[in-house]
Amino acid sequence: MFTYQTVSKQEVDLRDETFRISYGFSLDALKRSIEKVGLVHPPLLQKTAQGRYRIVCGWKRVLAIGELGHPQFTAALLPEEMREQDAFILNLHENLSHRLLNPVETALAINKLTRYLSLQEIQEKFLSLLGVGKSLSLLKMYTVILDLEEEIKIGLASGVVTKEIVSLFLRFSPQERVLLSQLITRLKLSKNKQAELSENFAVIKERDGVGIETLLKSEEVNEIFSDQRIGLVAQGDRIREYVRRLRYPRLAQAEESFRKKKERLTLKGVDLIPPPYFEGEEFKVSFSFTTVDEFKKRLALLQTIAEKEELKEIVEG
Amino acid sequence: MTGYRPGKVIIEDAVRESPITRNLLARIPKSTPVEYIHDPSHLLRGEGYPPDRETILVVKNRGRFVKPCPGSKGYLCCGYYILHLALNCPLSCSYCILQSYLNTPFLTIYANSDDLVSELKGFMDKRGKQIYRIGTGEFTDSLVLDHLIDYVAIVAPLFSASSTTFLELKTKTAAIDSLAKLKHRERIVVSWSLNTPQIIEREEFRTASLEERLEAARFCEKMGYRVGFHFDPLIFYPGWENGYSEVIEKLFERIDKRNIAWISLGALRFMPSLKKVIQSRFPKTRLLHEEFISGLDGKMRYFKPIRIAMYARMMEEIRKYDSECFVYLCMESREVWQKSLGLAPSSDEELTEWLDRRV
Repeated sequence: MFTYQTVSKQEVDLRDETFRISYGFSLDALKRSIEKVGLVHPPLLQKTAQGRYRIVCGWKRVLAIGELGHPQFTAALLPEEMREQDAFILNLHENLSHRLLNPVETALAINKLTRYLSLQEIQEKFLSLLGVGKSLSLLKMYTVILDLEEEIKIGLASGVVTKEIVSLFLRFSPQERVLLSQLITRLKLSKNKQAELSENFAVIKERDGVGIETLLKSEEVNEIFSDQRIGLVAQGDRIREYVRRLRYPRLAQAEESFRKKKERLTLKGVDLIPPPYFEGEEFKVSFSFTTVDEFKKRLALLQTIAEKEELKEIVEG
Repeated sequence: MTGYRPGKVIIEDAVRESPITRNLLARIPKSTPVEYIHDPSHLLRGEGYPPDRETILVVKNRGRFVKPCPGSKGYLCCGYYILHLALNCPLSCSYCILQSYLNTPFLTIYANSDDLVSELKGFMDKRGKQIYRIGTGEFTDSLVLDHLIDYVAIVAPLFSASSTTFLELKTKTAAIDSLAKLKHRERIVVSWSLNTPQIIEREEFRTASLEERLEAARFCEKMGYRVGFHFDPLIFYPGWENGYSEVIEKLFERIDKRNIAWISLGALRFMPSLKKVIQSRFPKTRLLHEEFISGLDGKMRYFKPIRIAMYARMMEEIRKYDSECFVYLCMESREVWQKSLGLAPSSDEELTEWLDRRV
């Protein structure tokens, strides 16, 4: 199927990205390997009608050779008559045989498949192979990735920005998307926290007309970022909490009111826990103790609290 | 929506001679593709099929036709029973729970009406003097398919013959032609789910307008039916107070309060899994922008003070026109009842009793 030939790097058309799906990579390790042991796996090329070669598999290898200053290399050549579609599918299988594609690469692969196949055919024949489930909505999500800003794509490719929030990005302007991506990258948020924060930003924008830029310039956010005493995780938690309070203003107000009333009860060593979201009617009390005396003290405190008006106010509303 | 017509019909061999199937085949255009199938189980499971409300699947119901409403853990339930005539709905409400609740993607009609009649008779015979309210509008719209299958005409005589079992037909349509032909109108309550024109336009696609629903209700009232109204889901949005207040005003302008069996109130609630479906199918909706919390039953609900405020305001508006009207809350806690309506049933049984007295 292949023939092997020495090809000079000038003969390779790097502007022809017909088969390219590699994105967001570093060549350092590959260059070190080529320097040490040479090019073990020759890149796969195909001659075009213009007489130059296009890369079917091995983008990184060809780039690394170029950066290392090698004037020529051994390449495997595909027959010129092989259909573009077949060559692309060969490239896809070759890549998937030894590595996982990052979300941008998956998006590139899907995007390129759409030149040859319908979305339904891609869904049926390739989604499982690409490891992205089988749903059409997921497929559509991937088709959106390539339209996102470069900074976001870099975040997605590196895994700092989760692909789970791609559809949320569409609810923001390009400028806001970049701000959101920068915030996520800065705070190193987990997947779920990214989704929660992005969703809350989106709702605040659509419901209250307050965009991310305004929120990020707020005093509260500035204060959090300038607080040297707290680490990245705590900063992230406080930013999320600030945004959550704006997203759920009535719930936040109820929580604050409960907190103040609880404070007035002067609980020492005892915690009073409201029903989740104040939905049910069941309050819980929790305390710990190490000695019987301590246990008795807690009980005495509970007895005192039971008589207080504040407790009645909390429980009976 | 007037006169829903399917794009395709798939019929299970076991029910090809059923009266429901015959009605359907006689009423759809001759050009409608009809396919017969021996085993529809893969279609019912819906594996690999996208939602398809243009295809009607006519099958034999192998389960029970009459089932108690599952209720909701932690909230008062009114002891309702559900009569399963069909699954899914050709109307397209953005908030519809069926989008995530049902697996089957097709509009499914249970056509073994002989089995249904015999089960329903058995149900009625066994129950003695206790009153039962049974509705067909939980897993589909009660009337949206009736012009094609005439199911109501099959079940209505049974209710007429029973002194203790009442049928409620819940709809968002104005499709009442089949009711006009019905001889047996006793013990049938025709109910409309009502919402504000803004919500109907933005969220209840392919349904009848508010005017059409009220006009249909007025017509049913004239035909001698008792009518009911469900403000369910009540939706919180800027201007909801005036919106719902105007609907209530129109309702009491059109309908004689003496003919209203009940009005129910139920704030929007949904299983968390529905959120993604809504976002994907109705990306422009603002429904999900409000303050939803996870309820005692795991469903997303408006934060309690919002619900209490909405119910209290609705009650206040209703009371302006009818101080006696029976208003109940669907799937709410005793606390919410008490704080919004000023009264609360002590248990599911008491709520059931209150409603039973209305029929």
